[in-house]
Amino acid sequence: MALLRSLITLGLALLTSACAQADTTHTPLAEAWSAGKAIVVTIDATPSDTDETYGDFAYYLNDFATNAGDDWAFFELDSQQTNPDIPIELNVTAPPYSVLFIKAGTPQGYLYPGPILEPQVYDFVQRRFEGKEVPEYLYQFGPDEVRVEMDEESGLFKVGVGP
Amino acid sequence: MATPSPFGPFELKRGDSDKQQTWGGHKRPNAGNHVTTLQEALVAVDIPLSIIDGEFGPGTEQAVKMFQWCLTAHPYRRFNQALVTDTRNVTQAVNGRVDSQTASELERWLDQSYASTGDLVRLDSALLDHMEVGDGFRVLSHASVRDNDVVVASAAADLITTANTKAGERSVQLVLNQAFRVNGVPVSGAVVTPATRSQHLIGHAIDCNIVDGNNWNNSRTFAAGRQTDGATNLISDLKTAGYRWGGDFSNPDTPHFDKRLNPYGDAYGFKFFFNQRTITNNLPIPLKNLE
Ligand SMILES: [Zn+2]
Repeated sequence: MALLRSLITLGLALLTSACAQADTTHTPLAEAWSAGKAIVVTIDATPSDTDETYGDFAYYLNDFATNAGDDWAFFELDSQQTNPDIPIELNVTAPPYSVLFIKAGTPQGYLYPGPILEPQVYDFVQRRFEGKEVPEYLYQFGPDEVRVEMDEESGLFKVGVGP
Repeated sequence: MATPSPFGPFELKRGDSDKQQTWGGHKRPNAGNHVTTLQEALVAVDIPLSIIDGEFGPGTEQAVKMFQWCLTAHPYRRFNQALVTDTRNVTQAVNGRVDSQTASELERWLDQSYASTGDLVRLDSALLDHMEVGDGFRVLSHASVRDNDVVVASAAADLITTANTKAGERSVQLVLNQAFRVNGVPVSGAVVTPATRSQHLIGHAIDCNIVDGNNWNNSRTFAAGRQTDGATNLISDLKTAGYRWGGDFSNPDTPHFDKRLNPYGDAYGFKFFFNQRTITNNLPIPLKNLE
């Protein structure tokens, strides 16, 4: 797999595609958000058969998804395609295989920039989103904090730098 | 000419046919069911073969290769419900031809009531002083596997024991997140397509973090170039010992170490089949002695 090293900034294209939709407030993403679910969005996660990095990324993500329960919702975002179901405006840099975590009512979301290759990252976010105690060592696995705002009018999720 | 065997006094090979009375590549005037007998024997020792039809086609050739791989790749044989270690050392070309040794070994397996298996072994992580399983480590769901067991291929067990020894020498601790991986995931839980040719799927890889004091050397530590000297030195030791480190991949995977088998070679394919079947069919996995 040729994983692009260059960072991709998503924004205008997704913004345009999202705004072009008549009713973006009832997207699966918005519904999961309104239902108070923790949302996991993988970004440009192109599959590969023999790439060990992809294999590890896919394993830990699928393992987490299998065990996370119904309070979690999972989405895949392809930055090259317009997808009205996932109206996200990312104003942060996110290389391929990045993972975004957002949840309504939490002080901040998280963006892990690149493939998650350690289950401790999921453990950290799950504990934070579910209000559980976080062991000291797990902070070393914490993703970057991001600011998340949902535009009630357009249903657009705006993700920016910082908590 | 090969020693006479239940499979005839010929070196059976692809193209042979009971119906055509062709054995060892030549039409013979005598009657016989040598290919059928061979196919029945392969099935009896639990080598996968879908049809018993007396025709030595690609499926039979592949089955012979798989048997030959079992002969030479590892000493484990199933006997009744248990696992035994075959004391006979065999060096055998994996060529799909029933040469005299392949024929005599197949006959011996039938006599001993042996059946094929893979080379998975269990290592008791409690006996590894400088390695432990992490909180996210999933214990394999299998009748043989206990809580502290780490499952790997026997041929790659040295990756674990060497890493443990070297970690001790470098005064660091290894926290293991995964070793052998079961192929696929429950469809309902699959978010992205799993890789199908990973070294984890044959038991030749581990994912771990190198913990140095209070510092967990994780992916982000390496990405930022903030790894500790202990981690750098341990990685160097393991690379010198011949293992691959995922941090050197074009897509860095710093927790990953493996003892690579060509994922497109026969050896990978056969090991994948047998080791995955061990989990699917709950076949016994021996505990490797670490004393
Ligand atoms: Zn790995």
